[in-house]
Amino acid sequence: MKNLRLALLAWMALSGAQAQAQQAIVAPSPADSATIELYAAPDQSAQPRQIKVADAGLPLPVQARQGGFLQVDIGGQPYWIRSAKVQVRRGSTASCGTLAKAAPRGQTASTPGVSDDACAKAP
Amino acid sequence: MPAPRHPEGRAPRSALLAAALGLGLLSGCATVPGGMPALPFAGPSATALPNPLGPLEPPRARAWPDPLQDVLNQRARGFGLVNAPELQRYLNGLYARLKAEAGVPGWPGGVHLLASESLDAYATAAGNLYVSLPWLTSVESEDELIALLGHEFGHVYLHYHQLEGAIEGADMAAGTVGLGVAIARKTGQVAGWNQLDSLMAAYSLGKGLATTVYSRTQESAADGFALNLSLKLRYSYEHGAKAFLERIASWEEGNRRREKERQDKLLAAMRADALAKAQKSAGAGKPPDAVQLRMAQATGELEGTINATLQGWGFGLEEVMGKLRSDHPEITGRIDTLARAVDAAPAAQTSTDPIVAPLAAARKEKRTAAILANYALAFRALGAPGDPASLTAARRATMEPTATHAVPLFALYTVLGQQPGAQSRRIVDPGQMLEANFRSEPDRAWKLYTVRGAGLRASHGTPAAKKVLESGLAYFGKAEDAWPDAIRFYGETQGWDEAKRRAADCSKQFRRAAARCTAAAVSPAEQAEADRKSQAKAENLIDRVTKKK
Repeated sequence: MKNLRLALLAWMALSGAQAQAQQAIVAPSPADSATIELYAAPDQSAQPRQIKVADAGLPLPVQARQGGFLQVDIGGQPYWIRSAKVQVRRGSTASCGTLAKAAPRGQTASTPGVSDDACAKAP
Repeated sequence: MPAPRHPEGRAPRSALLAAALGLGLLSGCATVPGGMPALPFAGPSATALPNPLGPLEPPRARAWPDPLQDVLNQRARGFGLVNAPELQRYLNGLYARLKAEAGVPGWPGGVHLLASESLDAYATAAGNLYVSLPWLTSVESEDELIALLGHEFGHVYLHYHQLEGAIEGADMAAGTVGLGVAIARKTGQVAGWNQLDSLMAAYSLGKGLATTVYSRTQESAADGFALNLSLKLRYSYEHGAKAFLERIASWEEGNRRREKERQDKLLAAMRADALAKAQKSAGAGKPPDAVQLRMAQATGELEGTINATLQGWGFGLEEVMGKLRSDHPEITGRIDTLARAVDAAPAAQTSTDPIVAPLAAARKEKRTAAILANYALAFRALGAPGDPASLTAARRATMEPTATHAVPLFALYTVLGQQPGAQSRRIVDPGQMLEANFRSEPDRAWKLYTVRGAGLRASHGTPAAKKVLESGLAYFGKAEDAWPDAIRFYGETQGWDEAKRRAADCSKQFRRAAARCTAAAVSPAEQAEADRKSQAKAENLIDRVTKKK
């Protein structure tokens, strides 16, 4: 029983971490920005270096966070980027499983919600 | 408009019909009013940048539907709601702060948890917000949670639900009528496709488009509303509204990728199927010789490629139509709109640390933590019901405090169905465990009555199933979403005339559910006949389009 409890706790910790894991910068924000600003330190008062979005090697895995900055590795060098200026890929614990497929369709008393019905076409 | 599926490799004529209708619709788009002011229920423009710190527009007066009746309706949908009092108390506290900041502290409605494993949330006219469990385990801060609730509250505050009345009353908007005329002109000359069909199709498609334009406008407005309130409550843009939209973007991207993989597999299967049929036909009962085999390969490849190409067009059309009919603007566009709004307001750009402690404390509360853990186990078990580890997970999921919750019970029932050897000899009828849900009033879910009823009908006959369904209806009878299932059951067990009588009652009582109730009362024979006529009409239309007649 104790082993089962430990295994379940470990599994829960793992699934909780899914939402945090694998974060990466996928685009500038707004998406049509041509450049990304790189900082040597997480300090907005410092002078940033600008690079073209095409040269940034997106997606860039997020190595660390500090204040409003994200640390990334470009060409083996660590840089900081203002998180407000980039779009980040974020995980979730959600899935389009059995229950999503059993969910009702059609007009309801509700608004469409926060996003499109992403599970509507789930296999 | 879902694309037709042809796994058996037949020529997808209905894909052509979809394309024909789609082209008509796309061409007809020019007749849709270019801007929302042309529609009678227009809201603010989607293109205007929201003012992140400006005053809110005053709320509009409205009649509030009964919030408790609304909750009952939602409990009859899908697997219902999750009863998690401490977590809901925390969420209702956040909702109260949003209402107070918006100047409407006395408005009705609360936050409820959807028993769903997808990333889902919506609001209703009663002021209730419904949020799926994965949102609670995925958000990284209270900033993000406030953005989510603020977005949904935005739909309530901005009176999105006035649209429902327009739809329910079949009040065709000016744009819809214009679109209908356009489609009628394009299709009216096709044999077997009369003006009434055209107008019906136009109304159905046009209504969707009109409501879509309105919905998109409202989504952007709700984003701006959420940003405004969250900043005024001293939550940050980057950890709040931005993170919230980024999580949706990532979720939708993942689902698009899975859908593409599914389509690719289907296309490959179509090619293989066509090749196999061609080889079989070349051999005519005998093993084909080398020349026949080569010819068959060439024919099969060709046919498979043609079918796959046509199907691919169908998929492409589906994607285009999906975007056109999508209630939500492109998520990147929504992120960009907020980014530009924040860029234009220096006071909104202050970078603060995310607020995480209250959210972490709410998640760690003893009963909440156990509920979240048990649901996660149930979701995992449902994802792989044949896996021996799922049996342990499902059994654990049905322990307190979720011993009477619908999803954990359904998970264990499903796993035992897949692993009959794992059942205890003492368990004569595994479906009996579902009845624990019926005995717990706050946990009851209509879905389990239908699952239990179907199981009993197969094992013990109709009277036992009817008893369960009717006990469910005694509780859920005032919930519109319960009725389509019930009507279908009555049709199958008491005849389709009885189903139609009940469908008429349902339509009178629940206008919004009228179409679903009527559809549920269609007998299999009537459905087959309607399908046959529809197919004939479709083929006629395609032949005209392809000039065969």
